[in-house]
Amino acid sequence: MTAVRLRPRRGYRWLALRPTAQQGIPKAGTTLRPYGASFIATAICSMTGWALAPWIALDSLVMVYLVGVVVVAARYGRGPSIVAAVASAVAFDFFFTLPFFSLRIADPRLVITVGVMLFVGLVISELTSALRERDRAAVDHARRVRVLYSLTRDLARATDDAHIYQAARRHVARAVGRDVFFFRPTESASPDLIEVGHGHLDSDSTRIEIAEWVFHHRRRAGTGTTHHPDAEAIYLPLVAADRALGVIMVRPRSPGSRLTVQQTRFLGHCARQVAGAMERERLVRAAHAAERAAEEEQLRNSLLASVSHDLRQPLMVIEGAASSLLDGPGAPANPIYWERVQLLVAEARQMSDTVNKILDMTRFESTAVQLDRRWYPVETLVLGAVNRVRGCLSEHVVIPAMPNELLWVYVDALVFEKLLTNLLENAAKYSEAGSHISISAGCFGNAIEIRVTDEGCGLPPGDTDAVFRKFHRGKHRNAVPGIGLGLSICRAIVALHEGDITAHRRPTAGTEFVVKLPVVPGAPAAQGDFEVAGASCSG
Amino acid sequence: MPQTRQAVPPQDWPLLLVVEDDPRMRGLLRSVLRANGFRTLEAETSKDGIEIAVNALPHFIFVDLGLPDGDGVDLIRRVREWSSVPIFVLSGRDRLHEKVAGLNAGADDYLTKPFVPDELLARVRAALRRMAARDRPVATASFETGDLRIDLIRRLVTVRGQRIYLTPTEYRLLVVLVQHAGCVVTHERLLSEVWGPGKADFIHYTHIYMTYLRRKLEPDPMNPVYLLTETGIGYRLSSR
Repeated sequence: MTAVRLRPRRGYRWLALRPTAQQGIPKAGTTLRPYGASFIATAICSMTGWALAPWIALDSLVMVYLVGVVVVAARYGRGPSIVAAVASAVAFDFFFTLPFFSLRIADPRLVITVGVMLFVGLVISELTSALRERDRAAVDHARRVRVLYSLTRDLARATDDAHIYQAARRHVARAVGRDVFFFRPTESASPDLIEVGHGHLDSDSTRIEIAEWVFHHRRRAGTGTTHHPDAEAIYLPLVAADRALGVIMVRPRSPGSRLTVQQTRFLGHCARQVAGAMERERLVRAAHAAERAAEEEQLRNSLLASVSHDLRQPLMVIEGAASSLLDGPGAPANPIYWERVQLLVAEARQMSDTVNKILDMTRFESTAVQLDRRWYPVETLVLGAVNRVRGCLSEHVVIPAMPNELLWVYVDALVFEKLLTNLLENAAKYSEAGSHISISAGCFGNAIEIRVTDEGCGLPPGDTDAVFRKFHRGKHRNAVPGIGLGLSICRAIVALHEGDITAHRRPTAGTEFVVKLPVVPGAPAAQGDFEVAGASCSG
Repeated sequence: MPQTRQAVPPQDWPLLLVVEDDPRMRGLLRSVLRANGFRTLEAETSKDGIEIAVNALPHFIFVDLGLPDGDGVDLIRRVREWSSVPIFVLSGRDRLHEKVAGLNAGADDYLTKPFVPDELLARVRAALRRMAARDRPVATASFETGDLRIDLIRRLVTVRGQRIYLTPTEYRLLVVLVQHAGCVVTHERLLSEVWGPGKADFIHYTHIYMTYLRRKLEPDPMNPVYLLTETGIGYRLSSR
């Protein structure tokens, strides 16, 4: 413990006297030993002075005492060195001034010598001890920085949470001389946390309790804090980007030893580093998952697209060829022939429709879908859609009702027409022949609403939202052809246009679908001076 | 195969050129057309198509726009440089841009695959009739469809004998549609023929004026029978 070591410092050498094995942790309580050492040092100086006295001047003896003060100051700090300075002055006075062995001083000039000696001794003790403290602080700081640095380096190298825990445990334990434990959140709801490296069962329940409190409040707990100050360990939350990722617990190896402010602060730094590494790891995992999902999506899309293509082309030919048999000359007069050909056409058409729906669903769900949005009056789109599905609505009475003024929507015409035709076809599918299907539009507040209503069997009781789910079919599923994608496509299309679609049971009978589109600013003026000059007309 | 059963088609049957890369679709078109009084020529690529069009001078051309060597639109443009032969675009259901590009390049109309043979034949015959009428020296003085009658010389529009008053723009729009009666006219073409060139950003004019026209001419504007919307492409004046 008393070994004195010379430490090299940048470019010059300086006496930095410190214990080699103290690890920077001050002992609890101060002992009286340093003060004893002051007196011993003074005694040694006095004996040396006594031995040298015959050969040197009295003033030079003062220097011997001052060396003693310097050594004590460097070794034991301020208090003992002040004691040493005072004791040296007293000893000099007692042993070396006339009359000897008395505190009286005969020569008034020597009063000044003793006074200066006391003053110089005090100054030396002050300066040396201040220097010593600064040195110690610098060394401790450098050591903590070194630990943090190597911790950061190891964390940067870590590729998963286990490595992160391992690196943190090793460095932190070495730096503060304590055991380090981690708690991480579980996937299940209860308990929220488990101790890393342990099953749920061997962990102490109060530990888990404190750790959970720390996790949820994102505040420290345990010794030296306000929450559970009686606990022997300190618990710090691992927080990154405002999310708690776990809890770190630091427990002394021997009970009763406390952490200094610097050490607590150091633990805080370590916790932040660990949390940062965990967050980075989490983001890397998330990025990987997203990449995988994107790849899967792409694969699914290309598979569906190529299958649909290889199905669609031949189906077109089958449908065309079959319908050409219906119209072509030279067909046999046998009615069974007609029935069969009609069946063939109907089935081919149905199959084409299914393939088209799958293709549409694939397209509108993919993240890469590109819309060609332009301004159209709702009326134009609705009438175009009604015109397109005229064939399959031939058994129903379609009643479009449009406001007198033009309502403009900013949509991809072809995609939006698909929405309207799907809604109309759906209405026709689930209502009796001869019943009415109405399609109306209006502007309500800051939304444009398009309503398609039918007089059909209505929605089943319960969740009206279910009809928009993929492959959902109505209760008459066997009587009605289709695979249950039409309305899912509608929802996807409306979502692409930042709108909303809902289904309602009508109080009388049937169903009402409401498409709500936000009003987009910049609609063309309904009225305007678009008249061209010249060209006069009749009248 | 039809060829083996059928005798060589008479030389006075109209000659149709089919430019299409899918052999199945070509076979179907050939079979339908030959059975209904047409002769056919076939090309797989746009390059071959142009060559055959130049050498054989067909009366009618079908162009599939998804050709392997690229551009059916290019073929349309090249043929239009020297011929006014009716050209129909054949295209998939979702190929809106293709169709519009083909129509703007000079195609007369489009057919969406899969097509109904009945409709196909009706459209081809109508186009050939129009072509024949165009070749006659006297220009058509009037146009009639259903109860709608347009006297192009006296600038008179009547519905069931009732005179309808149109603004100059409405009338001009109607005349453009009459000139292409039965065929789809793209928004772009309507815009440039009615309002003049350089108005590409004002497509909504066409929507507005078509709505006005519908309200004046259609017996029930909510169930139009004359002025039909081809969503995303343009408008069509029914000629039936």
